[in-house]
Amino acid sequence: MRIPKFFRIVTALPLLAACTANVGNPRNTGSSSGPNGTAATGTGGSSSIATGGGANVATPGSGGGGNSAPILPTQATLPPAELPPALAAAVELPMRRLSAAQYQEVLKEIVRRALPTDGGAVANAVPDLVKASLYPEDILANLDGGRHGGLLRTDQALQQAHVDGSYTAAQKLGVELTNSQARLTDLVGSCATDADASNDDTCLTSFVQRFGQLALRRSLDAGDVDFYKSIAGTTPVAPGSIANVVALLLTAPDLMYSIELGSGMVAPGRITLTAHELAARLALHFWNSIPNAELQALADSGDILKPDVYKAQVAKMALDPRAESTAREFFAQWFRMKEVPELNSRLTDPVFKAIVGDFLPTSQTRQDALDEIDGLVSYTYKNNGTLSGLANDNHAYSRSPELASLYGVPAWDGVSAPGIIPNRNLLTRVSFTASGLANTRPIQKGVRIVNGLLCQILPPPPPAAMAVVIEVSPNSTTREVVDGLTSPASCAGCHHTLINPFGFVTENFDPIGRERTTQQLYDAMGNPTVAKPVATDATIQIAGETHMVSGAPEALKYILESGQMEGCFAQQYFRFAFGRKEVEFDRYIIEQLNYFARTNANLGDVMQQVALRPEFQLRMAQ
Amino acid sequence: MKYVFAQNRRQFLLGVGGASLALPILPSLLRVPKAEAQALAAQKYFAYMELPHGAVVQTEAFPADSMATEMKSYAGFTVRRGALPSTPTNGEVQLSGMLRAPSTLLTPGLLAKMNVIRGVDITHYPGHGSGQSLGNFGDVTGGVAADGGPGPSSPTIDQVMAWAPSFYGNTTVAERVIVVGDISWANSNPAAHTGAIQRVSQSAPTNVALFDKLFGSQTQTGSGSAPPPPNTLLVDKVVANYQRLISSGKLSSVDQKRIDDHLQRVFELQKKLSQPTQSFGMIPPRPGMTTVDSSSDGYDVDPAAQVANINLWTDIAAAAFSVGASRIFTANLTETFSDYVGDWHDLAHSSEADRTAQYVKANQTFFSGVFAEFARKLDAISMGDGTTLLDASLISWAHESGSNSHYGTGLPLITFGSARGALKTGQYLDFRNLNKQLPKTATREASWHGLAWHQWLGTALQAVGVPKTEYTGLSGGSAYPDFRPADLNDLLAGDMDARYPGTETPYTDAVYAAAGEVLPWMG
Repeated sequence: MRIPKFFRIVTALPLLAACTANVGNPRNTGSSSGPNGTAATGTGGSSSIATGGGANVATPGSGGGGNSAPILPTQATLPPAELPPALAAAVELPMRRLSAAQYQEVLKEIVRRALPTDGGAVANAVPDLVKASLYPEDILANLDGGRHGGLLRTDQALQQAHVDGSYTAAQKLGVELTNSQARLTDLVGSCATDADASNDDTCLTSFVQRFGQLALRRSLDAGDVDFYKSIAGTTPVAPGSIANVVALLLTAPDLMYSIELGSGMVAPGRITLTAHELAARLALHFWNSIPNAELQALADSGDILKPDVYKAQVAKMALDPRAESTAREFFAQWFRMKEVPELNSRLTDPVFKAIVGDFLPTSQTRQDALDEIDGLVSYTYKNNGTLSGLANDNHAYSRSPELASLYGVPAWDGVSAPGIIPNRNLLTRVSFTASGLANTRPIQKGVRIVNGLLCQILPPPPPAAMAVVIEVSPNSTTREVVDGLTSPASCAGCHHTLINPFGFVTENFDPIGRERTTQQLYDAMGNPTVAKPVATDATIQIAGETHMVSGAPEALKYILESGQMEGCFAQQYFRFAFGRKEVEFDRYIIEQLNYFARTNANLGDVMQQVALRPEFQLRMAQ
Repeated sequence: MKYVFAQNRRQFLLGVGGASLALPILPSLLRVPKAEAQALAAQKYFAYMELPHGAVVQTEAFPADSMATEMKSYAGFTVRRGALPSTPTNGEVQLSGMLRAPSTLLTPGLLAKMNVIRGVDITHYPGHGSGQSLGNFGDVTGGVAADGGPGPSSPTIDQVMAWAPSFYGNTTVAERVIVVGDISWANSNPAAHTGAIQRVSQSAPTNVALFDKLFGSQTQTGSGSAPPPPNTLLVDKVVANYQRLISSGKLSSVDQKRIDDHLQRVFELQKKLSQPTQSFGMIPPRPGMTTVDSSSDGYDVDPAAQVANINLWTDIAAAAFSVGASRIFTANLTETFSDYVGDWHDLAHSSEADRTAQYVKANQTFFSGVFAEFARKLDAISMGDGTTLLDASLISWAHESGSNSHYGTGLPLITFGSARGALKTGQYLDFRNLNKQLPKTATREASWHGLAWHQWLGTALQAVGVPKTEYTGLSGGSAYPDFRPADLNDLLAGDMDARYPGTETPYTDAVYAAAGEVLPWMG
């Protein structure tokens, strides 16, 4: 029996025995030492492979990190505050390309601040403008080699469309910002529209310095100013000239990439970031944006390099709504919300139609389910909630009456305290249980928990294995069908011990995520046959320990007790923050994130930790 | 994959009254001046469409063995061929259960330009890979190398063509490769063949956007009129800006490589802006936009809607080919072309008995509704010299894997077009080694080992005019890509009851030695 290739989520070929052991990345054959040793030394792979390949020098497109072993902390240990020892080899990515989300937010903020009167309106138009310019979206890149999951920031490939799209967008914005006398005045100053030509050069210089500081995220030197002025030609403040200056600045390497040249070697293999580089790194990480005026001033003065100032600023940034927005972006990717299926595609199936009854999913239902998780994360972040609190949360965050009806509650108004939805937690929300089919999908549900939430890398199935169709049975529950189909020895090793149990514990939710105590079965025409009780008891395995559970609440309890989810969070958030796979040098950062998550710090405080580590404030020298 | 499409664009491209794309409009596009006709005579076109999963029911995929009447020894075993028949039955040409189409579509003329190829195998374990059937073995789940590690990363052949000096040369095109889906890979600096192998993103998020990208700037000025003179001042300055950074001497070597890669792409943009994009026909006027979201209710189980959607993409590809906006089109489609309401993924990995009816129907729908239709569109476009655009093309269709999901054997490879006579057509080519059969089991169809997929990749490259000197150097050997897995023990683990002597090394030295040649009877 062949296990569906959906589960071929690692790129190694261990034996099935791996499913009964502590599952890691079995492909990795590199040696790695602890924090006091030297760097991991991957031995396999090509330095040019784009998904996890490479030795210690990361490559753009790969997310870096080569095939180093994933770091997944299991103990809540606060690491030493200081830097880990020097690395034997460089591991930092080449300069990072801004993610698509960062690029868009950066443009919006530049426009907003450069055009005090009308900037908001132009900023609101930026997403459509960028889209129309065909600037590409990022691709979810799973750094462990799987085809599911992954993070957008780890897609560091450069496409022709990045260059073409940014060029087009920059030109359009240049025109947009200068398309009236009022906007030109707003953007450049009255010196651009007065009758006095003698002040034009000074006017242009001032504009280049101001706009350039926003676009380049640093101060411009005289050479820079002369260069950017040079495109203006003999009519320095004419609309077309200013539009060209804007476009040239918005296509600059400093805008497209994080250029971090450093202020000097702090230790072998490490350079410290300059004040402006550090401010830019903070703003891009927490806000997907550029430094605000306050942070800019701290960079200009150099005060951001003072530890106390830096720490206070990090705390302040984490409280900003933009940090909460970035947190939602991260959680949506970590929770694999992209894999939530459409719920309205099987309405022609008589069995599915019989199951859904009066509730007819639409093309909006899936989005409502995604929005609900967005609301959950947002509420948790804003209200100083913790990661475990988020996982255990049983409040209704759906603002859609249709989705809320699946929970049997009214839609949330987004302001008042959300109501309670009994028997729900993260694992049992619609976006984690619904399949949009006539059957639930226990196997896929299980993999999403084991691999997605717990970061356990499942070995691939034996190559000769073969799956069979999980039929909609008129007389057997989905669990019974799946259990039987995965019973052969070649399947059971992984399915019965690791995967299926995590899918079975939520079988008390139907294919559109409604709670049920029985599974009503149907014949192929959608006529009811028999209703059978659903079973949610299972023996789950977490970090090598087995637990008998009665259902999802207990399963989640053991998940949280194990600390595996927090460890997974720490690993994934590191990758989100740095845009690459971790190496041994990064262990302290991941351990610190894990420690704060495990000790129930609120989400904002946990996420600050990545920036409070000294590693965040420097770059590996190449 | 979800697409958004414009109904009225479809109507436009099909022509008023639902006539075909090519007949009422496209022939008039080709008013090629004599000077251009000469240059055009050397130009070739390539297209490739891939469906996921494989799981191709063998008994329904290929013509009867009796059709292969001619035999010869090749690479150490006997290979076979025969001519494709063209006799319709009840108004339908039936080459196999899967390869069926109305005789009005699959005409004798079109059949004469078709090849059905059997027995060209992916010689490693074909896990999921977003470019393996086009030659990138570095992104295959489950590993490819003997130690379970990844295979070599290589540019896919569409990108090899796109950047080969002999393909586009100095010609400027709007898009070197029209990429749909997740299938194309190139170096981070494709012109220099340096840097990491990275995924090339889809050319445009929707076919509406693709149309605008290919034709937009020209159609805005009116059909057939010259585009406005480009303002190269800005792009020249952008080039200077990146060069300024490089020459500052402040960058580390890896940062400099990053900027070099970026600069190469700015050069590509500069070239497009400063040299007129090749255009030898009338650009279709830009139609209005009424977008329809293909995520609408039931799209996933509506094969007619899926066919219509994908045909919109091939309409634009045909239009792009016809006016020279691009000459390469590659697509990885995730549509099922089926009304099966269960879980398609599970079906794909199921045994033959479970999936036969649905899979055959789905493949037949794609063949007749999309692939043969694409061939017909190209064949209706005159090149002005008695040949058609299809004659100048090599278009091809294959699956991610073969007889079962994750089996490299039994992939049907279907082609149309001779790439201007580089390939012989009208054939059923059977390259299976009948002495190397993996017998039928309860969960698996019978399958045979044959020639290596590398040989098809090299055949395609050579057919479109890319000499070996422009691609073999990229991976070192004479085949593309230069990779030979150690053995197939991994692939066959658990199949101990279904082996023949020597199964572990089914692809001999002779097979790999031949892998750099054009496939038998095709050259």
